[in-house]
Amino acid sequence: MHLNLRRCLRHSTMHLSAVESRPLRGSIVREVGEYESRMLQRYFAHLAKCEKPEILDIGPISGNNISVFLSLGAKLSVCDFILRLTNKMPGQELEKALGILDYRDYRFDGIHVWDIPDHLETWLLTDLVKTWFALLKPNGLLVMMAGPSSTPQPYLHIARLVRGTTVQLQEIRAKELAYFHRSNRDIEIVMRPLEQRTSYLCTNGEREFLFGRP
Amino acid sequence: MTKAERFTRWVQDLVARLRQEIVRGRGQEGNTAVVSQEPTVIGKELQMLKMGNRDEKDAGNDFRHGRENSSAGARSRSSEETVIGENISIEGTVLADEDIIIEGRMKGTIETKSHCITIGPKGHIEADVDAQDVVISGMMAGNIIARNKVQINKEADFTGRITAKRIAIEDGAYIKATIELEKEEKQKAQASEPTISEQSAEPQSAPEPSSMPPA
Repeated sequence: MHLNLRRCLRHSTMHLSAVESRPLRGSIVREVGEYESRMLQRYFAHLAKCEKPEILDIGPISGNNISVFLSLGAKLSVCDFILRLTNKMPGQELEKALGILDYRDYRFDGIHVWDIPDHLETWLLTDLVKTWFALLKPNGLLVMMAGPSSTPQPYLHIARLVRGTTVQLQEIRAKELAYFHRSNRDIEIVMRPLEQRTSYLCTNGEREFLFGRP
Repeated sequence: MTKAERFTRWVQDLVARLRQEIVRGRGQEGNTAVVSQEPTVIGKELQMLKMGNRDEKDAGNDFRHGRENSSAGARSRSSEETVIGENISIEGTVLADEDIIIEGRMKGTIETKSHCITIGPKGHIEADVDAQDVVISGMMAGNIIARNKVQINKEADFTGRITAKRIAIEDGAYIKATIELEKEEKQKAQASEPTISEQSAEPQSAPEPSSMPPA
């Protein structure tokens, strides 16, 4: 790994490792509302077209979501990337956390990253996008969400599927978690080479994005 | 000397050796034999093969526990479950015909095809598991084949593959897993029912999102 990347990793860890000693597991603070997700409707329609779809959920883990995606007949891989990044890995081992997404290329029809990009610095997100791009099959889709405003969001969100594509957002305590607000334009740029297929602005301010691999 | 006598003698030797081990340095890590301050916890229906580095063919190692094992201090929470205690470390293959609760360390393979394996909060196993039901509250790395249900609690730390008929995972668990459900006949019959997206057509009180203008 390049020296520059190492330095950035350590810098990023200053934010991320701040929650290391916190009881992050399962410490859901509150529910912050429900909405019907059109993005997920499109995403499910895509999965329905795939024969035995393979999906990657990089967390935070929701047992309910796992049940929903498995009920679609999918082969589901779950990896609580962000929890491992914040809770499990001391700063010097952050590279190992990045290496946890060690799946073979062209494997997945869909990837969910929920609001993780909000909490990653641009250089790290750029690196991860390359990984996600490699993991997706051609025409595979990536689902992501972004926070509503430039107000720091000190919480991770679990997007919990409660009824079909109705999403219930739940906050997980992670008080010193870094937050990087990005405009829609910034998100489109940072997510390249993935192509933005559609985006929705929900009335609660949450933004949903659907990216695809060309 | 009958097989039972050979086994009894082997158990006595083992207990004596363990006592010496404990006196020397209690429960050193890396031991592959059973190490405990208490007598070994092995149920009557449990078979252990390749325990430690010993040869499986060794008469003392290839054993099936019977009632005489109780003289070696076997401890079961009930007549149908075996507890591998906190201070016990096992390496090898475990074949069982009863429920197993693992609170200690285990490396290898565990098979109890019609029973439940529970990995307690202090359990730490690196093993492939084949069981009816699996409940994980501790640390596990390995692959699971469950004929019925896998339950992963939020204290768990799991890495591996899961094949099961049903699965329940608590929010907040550390998991890196590939999960695949085996379809039951009933589930196949339900395959023609509405998909998730169709079910979402129920009336919602929540506000609907609107398309976002181009950035």
